Amino acid sequence: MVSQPSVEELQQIARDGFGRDLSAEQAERYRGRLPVMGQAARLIDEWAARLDETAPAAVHRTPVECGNMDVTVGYSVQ
Amino acid sequence: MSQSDIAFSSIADLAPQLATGDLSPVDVTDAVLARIEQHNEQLNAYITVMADTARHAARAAESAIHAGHYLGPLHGIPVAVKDLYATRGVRTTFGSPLFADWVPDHDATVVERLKRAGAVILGKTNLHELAFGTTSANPHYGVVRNPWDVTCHPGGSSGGSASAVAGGLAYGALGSDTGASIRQPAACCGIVGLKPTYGRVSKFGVLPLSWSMDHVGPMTRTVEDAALMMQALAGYDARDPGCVSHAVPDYTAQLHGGLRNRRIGVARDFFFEECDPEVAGAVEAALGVFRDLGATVEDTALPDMHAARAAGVVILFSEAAAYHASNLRERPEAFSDEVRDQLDMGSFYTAVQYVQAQRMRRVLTDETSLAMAPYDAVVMPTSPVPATPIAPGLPGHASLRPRNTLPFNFISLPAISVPCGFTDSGLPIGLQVVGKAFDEAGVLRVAAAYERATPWRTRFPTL
Repeated sequence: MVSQPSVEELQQIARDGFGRDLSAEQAERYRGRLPVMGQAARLIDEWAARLDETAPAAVHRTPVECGNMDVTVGYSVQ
Repeated sequence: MSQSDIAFSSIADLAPQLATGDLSPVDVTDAVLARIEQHNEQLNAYITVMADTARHAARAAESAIHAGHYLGPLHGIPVAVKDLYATRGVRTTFGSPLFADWVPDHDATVVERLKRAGAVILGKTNLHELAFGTTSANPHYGVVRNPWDVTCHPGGSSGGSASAVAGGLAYGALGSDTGASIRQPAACCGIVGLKPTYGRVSKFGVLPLSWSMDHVGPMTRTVEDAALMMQALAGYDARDPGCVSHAVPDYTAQLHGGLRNRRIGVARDFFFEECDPEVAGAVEAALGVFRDLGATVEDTALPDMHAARAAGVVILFSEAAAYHASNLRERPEAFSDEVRDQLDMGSFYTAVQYVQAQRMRRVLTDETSLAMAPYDAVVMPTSPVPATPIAPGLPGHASLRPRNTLPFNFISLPAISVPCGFTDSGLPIGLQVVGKAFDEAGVLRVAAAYERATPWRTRFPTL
């Protein structure tokens, strides 16, 4: 059985991850998602420090490479 | 053929019989409508059944085929459409009371394409509210149930589509996938679900959840059927700014190509970490099948998938909060507590975090492409767990997580879920096959070779 974070711990996650002060009621309400979302925020911050400072945001790049089993039959506009 | 035989036939098996007139689209449609009549109350797979329209379309298909105007393998085939797609003249709810009475004046591009291919639209399938969740326990339109065990979730958000296809209530269906929503329900319901490359299939007329993570694709009982549906769906559409004009191959051409001398990578880090032992066991057994088929199977490491998932979560939640901001402000009572809370939380992330996540996306996409370069495909479990019990009060997302699927929405690569076994309690297990950008044909080839070598496609649930 995985132990549940306390309300205080959830409030700390919100402060650290999003700079938000949640009431005890809000912390309880968001209990289901808050730990994973807080973990995501922490990973983003860690990664940001490792990114090359010239790396821009993709927003949003579509891939253009072709896989090696694709049978090319010419470009089509349907 | 008995009605049950007809209902569980594949599209590929039915198509030649429809083409020659040995089987009538009207009989096929009636057989499926009879099953919907019989089982939809239990499964809640459909929100709207279009019986009259479907029969009309089936009669038109029959006349056209009889007159020598056969359109191809989807002509006269009854299919379902997730109720996230606009359908002209037919109520489109998006699984939300916000749109309970909305009747669009246009079809989504993919609905248009299915109709153009001669498919018969049976109805609109149930889904997780606004496609924002993984159980399809919809508080407004009913809880969708898994045909393999009706006490379990079918997965989501395309749970109605998965339940309908698995239960013989449609031959194929449209799903949509922002983090898991085609592949995870496909795995939970023992069917095939293909999330194509971002940009391969038009999203015009589909309610967005997260613009840069949303994908549209087919859900079917066999890999060949997925290829047949993809053939109709794929291709450029100027009405979707994310759609690309890229060569559309013949998706069935390589299905029987086999796997001799192909290289399959096994991504163990991250993807096997929180796996149910029965799921991991089924995937290990699948690796043996690949070896028996002549493929080289070796462990490989993809880049930091923990980071890919984290950044994907930030992007998905932020974009969902942005899309629904005005409705959330003006009509908060029209959202369930679950979805309203998720949207609230989406607005927690800062603009800085969103931008950093998009910067990570570029780096991780490049690194993943590099890591996948030596392989024809990389495989892992689709969902770490099989379908979970429907239990009021238990948040479905706590167990049915998009953990193994969401990274490929984030980095846009094509991925398919194909059935790879059952748990001791009879619940299906899915294997995820991931390919290079725009190599849906390669992904289908690997999945088809595996499917042919295993018995899973011949098992159907008893309702």
